[in-house]
Amino acid sequence: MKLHVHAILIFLIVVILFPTVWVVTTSLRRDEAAFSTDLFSSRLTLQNYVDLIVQEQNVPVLVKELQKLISRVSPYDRLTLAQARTKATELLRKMRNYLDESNKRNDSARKSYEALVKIFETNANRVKQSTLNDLRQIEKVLLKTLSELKIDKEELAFVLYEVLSKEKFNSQMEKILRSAVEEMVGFKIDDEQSYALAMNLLRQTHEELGGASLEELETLSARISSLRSEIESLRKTLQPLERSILEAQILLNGDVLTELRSLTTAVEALVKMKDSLARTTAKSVLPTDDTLFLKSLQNVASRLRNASLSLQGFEDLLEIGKTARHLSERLVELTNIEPRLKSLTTYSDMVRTYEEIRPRLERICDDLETLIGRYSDELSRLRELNSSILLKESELQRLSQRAEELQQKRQLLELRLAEERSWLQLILFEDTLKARLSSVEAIKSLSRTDLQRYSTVLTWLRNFANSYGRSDEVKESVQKAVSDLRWIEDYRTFTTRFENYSKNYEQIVKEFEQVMADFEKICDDLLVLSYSGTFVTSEHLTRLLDLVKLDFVNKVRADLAVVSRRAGSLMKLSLFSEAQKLFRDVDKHLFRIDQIWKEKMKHYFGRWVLNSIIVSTIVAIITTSICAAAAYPFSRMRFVGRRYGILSFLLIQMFPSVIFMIAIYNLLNFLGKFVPFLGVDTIGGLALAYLTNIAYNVYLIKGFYDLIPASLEEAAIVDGATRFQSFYMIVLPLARPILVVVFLLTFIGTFNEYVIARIVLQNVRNYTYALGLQSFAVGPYETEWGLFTAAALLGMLPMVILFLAMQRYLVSGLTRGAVKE
Amino acid sequence: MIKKLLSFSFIGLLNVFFFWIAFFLFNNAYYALGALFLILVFLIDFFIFNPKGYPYRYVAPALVLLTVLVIYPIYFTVKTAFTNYGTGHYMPKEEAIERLLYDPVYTYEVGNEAVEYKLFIAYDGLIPMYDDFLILFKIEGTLFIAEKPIPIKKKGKDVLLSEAQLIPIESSTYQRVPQSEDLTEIRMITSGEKTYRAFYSPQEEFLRLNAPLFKSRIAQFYLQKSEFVHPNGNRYALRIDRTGEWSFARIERLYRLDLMQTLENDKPRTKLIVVNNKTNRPLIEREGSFYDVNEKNEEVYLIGYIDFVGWKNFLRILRDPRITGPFFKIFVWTFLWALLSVVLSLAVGLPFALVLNDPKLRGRNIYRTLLIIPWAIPVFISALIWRNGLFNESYGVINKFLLPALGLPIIRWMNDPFWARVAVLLVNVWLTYPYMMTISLGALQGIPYELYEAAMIDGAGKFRRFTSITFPLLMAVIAPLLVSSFAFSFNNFTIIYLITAGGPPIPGSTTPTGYTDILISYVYKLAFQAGTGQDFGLAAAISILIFFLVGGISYVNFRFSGVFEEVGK
Repeated sequence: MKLHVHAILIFLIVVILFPTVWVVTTSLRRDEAAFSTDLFSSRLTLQNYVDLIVQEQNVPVLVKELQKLISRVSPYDRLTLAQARTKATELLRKMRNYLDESNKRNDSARKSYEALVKIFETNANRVKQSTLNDLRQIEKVLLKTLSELKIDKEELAFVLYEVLSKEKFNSQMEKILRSAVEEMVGFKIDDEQSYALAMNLLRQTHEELGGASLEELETLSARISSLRSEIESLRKTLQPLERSILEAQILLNGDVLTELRSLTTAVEALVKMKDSLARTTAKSVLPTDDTLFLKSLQNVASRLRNASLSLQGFEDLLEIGKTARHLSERLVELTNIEPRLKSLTTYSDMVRTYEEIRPRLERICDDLETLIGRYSDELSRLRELNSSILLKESELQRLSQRAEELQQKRQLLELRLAEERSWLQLILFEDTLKARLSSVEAIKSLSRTDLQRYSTVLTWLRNFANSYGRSDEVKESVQKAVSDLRWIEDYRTFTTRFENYSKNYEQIVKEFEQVMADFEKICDDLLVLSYSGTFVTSEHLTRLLDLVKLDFVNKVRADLAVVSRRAGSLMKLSLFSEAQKLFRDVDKHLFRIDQIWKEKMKHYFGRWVLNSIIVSTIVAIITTSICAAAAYPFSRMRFVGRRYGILSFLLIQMFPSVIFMIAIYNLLNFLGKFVPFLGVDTIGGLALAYLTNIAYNVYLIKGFYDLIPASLEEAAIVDGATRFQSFYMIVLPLARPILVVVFLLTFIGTFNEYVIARIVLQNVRNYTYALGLQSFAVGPYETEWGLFTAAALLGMLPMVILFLAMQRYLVSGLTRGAVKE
Repeated sequence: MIKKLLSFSFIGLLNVFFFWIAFFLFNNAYYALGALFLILVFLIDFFIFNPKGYPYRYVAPALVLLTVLVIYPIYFTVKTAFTNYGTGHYMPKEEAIERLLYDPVYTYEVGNEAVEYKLFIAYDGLIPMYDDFLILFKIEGTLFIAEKPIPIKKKGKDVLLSEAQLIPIESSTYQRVPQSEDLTEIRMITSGEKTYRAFYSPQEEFLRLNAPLFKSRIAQFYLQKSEFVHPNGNRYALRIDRTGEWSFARIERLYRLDLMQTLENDKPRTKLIVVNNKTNRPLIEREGSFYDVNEKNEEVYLIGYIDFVGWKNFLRILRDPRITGPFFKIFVWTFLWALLSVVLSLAVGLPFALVLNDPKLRGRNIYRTLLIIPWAIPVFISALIWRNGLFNESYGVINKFLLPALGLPIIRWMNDPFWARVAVLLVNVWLTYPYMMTISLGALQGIPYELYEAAMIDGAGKFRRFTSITFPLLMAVIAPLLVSSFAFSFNNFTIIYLITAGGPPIPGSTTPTGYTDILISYVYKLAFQAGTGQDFGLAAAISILIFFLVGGISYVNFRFSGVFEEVGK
């Protein structure tokens, strides 16, 4: 009866603790867990922990250190030349060691790889046999299923017609299906004629069942897509048109309008001149030749009038139309001059003045006419285009509706045809199966081309399994074959990528060694130059770093990762037991090579943990001692503020402490200028900021003091002890349990604090563990789970153990006051 | 006797120390904190010299800490709530004016004299001593030498302005080697025993190799905020010119201080104003900021200072539509978050407690220990694990394995407002149900068994016994703890910040707000998220609101749960 309770509890605990399980397993994984398709992996390593605790000086680090040494920047700026020389030789020696190790590993990996290939090749026959078995099994099941399928004659006819209507007599498809058709129509098909006859019969059934609507659907969708592209292209032609119209409008409303206005003022001045004609009397000596003047006036005026008339319809251009009309009216006014006035000097002046603006007037007329012509042309084209787009769109909508209706019909039909379609699929499958069988039989070894063949078989099987709608024995057997053969693909990628890796690796390492040797030759000279006071960087080292950071990453690391991953999945393969160890070897060596060359994240994990421990210890000691003293009078003496003192502070401490940080930050900033170790971005300053949790601890300790009988102290005082002595020598030792609890609680609380540390600390080297852990989990490291989980586990374990060890005190402390005895 | 003497000298020293601190604080414009220290020192003296003050001696250290780290920050926060302290308003007005007058930013280049320079450095053996250098100038054909600039305006540790005199080389103690007028030929400068070797010059190809060192070790440290004064009063400073080259140019100050006569209530008054040297127009001062008026008559923001703004910050919460809307959303969510956290974690924890309370259950200690683990893991670790490993939208376990296995579509945990809230609640329940389980267990054990026996005799079923006995008695005991837990969740910043950082953001708000933001994380973002502009004033105002909410709840809780009586015992 109790069993189900246990079962449920265990299940729930597994679910609840899953995040911790995930942390443990992920921290031990060798692959990049974030990008893996498996929740757990069998390829385990302690490398993450190693990386956390001792940061290996691998190749990229060594190259960078050398560069620093040559350029004499920190930490090498204080070395003497001799020291620098020894350091350089040491770094170079280390690098050489790494290169040797890497090459050795590469050789061993190569050896294991070759052994593997041999094993696979000797077992080629077995692979072939098992594949053949699988395929034969499929064939057997296939035949059985074909005989069991319930086939409706009409529906089968429909499906057959659908397929064959596009085929000719004697095409491959037709040959396969010929017997089925013969059975359906009841006569033999042996030439074009009989084939056409049979097809006709089939077509009748096809149409009866609604085949016409299917055909219609097809043409409809073709029409719809062509309509769509037409509309698209129309829209495209629309765009430049719109732009040009806008340009014309801007031109008309801008430059042209301004010119028209300025001309209007000029002409108005002329009109004034004309009005003043009657008042002057001076006559010109020669009669003025005004034929040209009058002709031009009339010409321009009428052109302007025409322009203004043609502008009437366009709302955006009303202003310019009005101006043009106004100008033309003014010009007409100029023509009405009494002949007797024409002999006056002013008149000839007028004519001359007009001559000056005449070219401008004529030009503006030209401009106006061309612009208006273009503008109205383009406008009508725009209208045309827009209406045709609308037309097409409405047609598109109509067609889409119809298509949807047909689609529904088709779906209904499809439901009925499912069985027959499967039959058709199987028939076709059966046909190819024979070909595949023979092609597999022809395979003799496991060379690259053979693998290619297996791979085609695999893809073919997989495609069938994916497209085959029925779930029956055929599907099962195909799926089994697929899963049996899946390793072939793994193995194929494994081999090709390994070859690829090997080639690139050797090439890069060769160049690396070459450049390094060159560097070694000039290293000493560079050091001497650098020590003469010049800033030196080495081109060789830059090249080396590029090789590691770019070439190796781009050309080698991807292959390396793939080979390792494939080796991991091939390891699980139980096909050849002797291969397992070899795969493991390859994986192991490649992993180490990667570790040697990989540029790793720089961190200060040890320092962070140390910082956290220092801060937490300081805070816990100070808090405990101050609170132990402060709690004493609250328990033993009477004084003003005893009743509400602790509680007021408990309440005051409800003030959100995040906002305190503005003040405390300012304070630390100020303090840091005079007491450097208590400033912002220091451990001391952080510890100071943490010393705020006093009220609650005083409350806890006071409660414990209350339980210590007062008679003990009274006896001590009678014996001559002072009050302080009785506190120090009697109460404190007796209160040790609660002091330990307060110490540990404060320690844990401080260790677990995040926000205040985030605000106070800035430099990565000063981080506490909490900040450091977060830096493993954000930005570019969001998916680097290995380091993160390892660091999380290392920080979590001691805290959990501490907490569990203390849970008794904790629980009693928490429920004190609420759960009364 | 000696003991007494020792204690007196200790008290004396303590007094001197505290007075010194107070004096020091006053000197550095920390008036409130200085006053607090004065009060503290008087209090401590009172405790020591008055027998009635004896009990307080034990409390004194705690009192000092609480004063500095709690009372003072509260005072500061309340004060800040009434100011515009925040982005663009970081310093007092005097300091802002000081910056305008001295900061090298507020200078402009005049003339285009050719100023050539070459830097010489003293060497300790082979190592250049970056803090001991000379600069040789050639201005209008005359050679000048300048030593390392000396700070003349400081703000705390920060140097606002350094200065050095340009001395004609003939009248200085320095000798050129070789004695040449051409800068490129001079290799060394000597003065008595000391030699300075050429280190950097933009003209010489070989010395240009040292450009990175010159920029990082010398220019940035000593030359960026320095001015070199010519004997005729002209000033020169290092500026980055149009080609990106670091060169010296003649500069002039952009602003000067002036007095302005104004009439206020018909009485003449004199006001200090800052005047632009180029345009000779006074700066405009508005809402705690200085604005300059440029040639096009446009106002250009220059620098802001901290100004008293009254109740404006509180009124903004109520009236500014771009703050009120999101604020109200956050406010409601904060309550919902705290309430749901308590209710859901109790709903998970209580059944476990009921099962584990059965003394006949085998291995219940192991179960309890395992179930308590989520509580034992530091919160920030759990939060990061959940965020990175489980809720990550593309790689997380939930979206990559769990949901596909159940045939469900993936969830955008960090970008969908609803699911982001579900995510933070889920993690919080995971973290706090062990606490609920533990306190329920403790309370359950206090319920006397006789009650159940009596109920069984009366024929009450299992369910009836739970609703009539267990639950009411349990609630009576744990209700105060639930209220405390509510108050704690109300301000539970770490989870929100580490999991969603408040996101996804609420659109259309001027302040950094998100759908999972609770009040406290909103305050944090307002105060410390520099990217969107800090607003300490508003943050402080909201903190005061939070305090009254949480403090009020806790006060009522203390009252009803009888903590007051217990402490008073």
